[in-house]
Amino acid sequence: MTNTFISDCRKRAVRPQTETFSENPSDAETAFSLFEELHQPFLFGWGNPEKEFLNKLLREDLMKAMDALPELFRIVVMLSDLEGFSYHEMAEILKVPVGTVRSRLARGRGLLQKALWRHAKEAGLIKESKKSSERLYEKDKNDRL
Amino acid sequence: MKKIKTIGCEEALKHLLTYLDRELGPVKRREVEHHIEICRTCFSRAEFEKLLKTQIREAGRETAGAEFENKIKTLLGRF
Repeated sequence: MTNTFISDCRKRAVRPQTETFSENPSDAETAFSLFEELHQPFLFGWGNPEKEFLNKLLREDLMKAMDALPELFRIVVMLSDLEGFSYHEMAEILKVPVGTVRSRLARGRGLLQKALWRHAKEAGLIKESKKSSERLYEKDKNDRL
Repeated sequence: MKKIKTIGCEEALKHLLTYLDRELGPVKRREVEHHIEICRTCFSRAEFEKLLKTQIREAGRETAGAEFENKIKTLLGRF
């Protein structure tokens, strides 16, 4: 079954690609981390906002964010995280070098996390970003000085 | 046995997702594992990324099998 699926994928992966997205791994999307937005080290085990966030996410939220990813990145995230293919297998299926698979995966995951973050804010799952609350604190501190 | 090199957070995070994908070579894997054992924040980060990965996989599994496979095939057909 898996072999049939892989060979089917290989047959379909022959068309040349038209890439409209930059694959530069230093892009802000790659650097985006949900964990960094949510983690609050000063809680010292009294709470775990990042796990609470994941518990609030619904299957629909995840699949919607996945569907919204640009195709180029969606396919590697799906093949890796949903189908469990290795980087080497994905490189063969997509006819690209392993390094390209690696960078697309990093970018795709970054974009996915960013989409989940945006959705969570719109749906009211998060009131305020930790980073923005830190900025407010800094502003308040500077105003008082 | 060769001593494990101690790496910092930046280096560990650079390789974290590859580590979670089980795609790191043995030396780098041991370095990342060692860092995660001694750094609370990176340990939490690894746990978070692992949990998110699991949730994505489960969400995909719950999506009707044939419908999901068609989705992947359609996508691959465009490449």
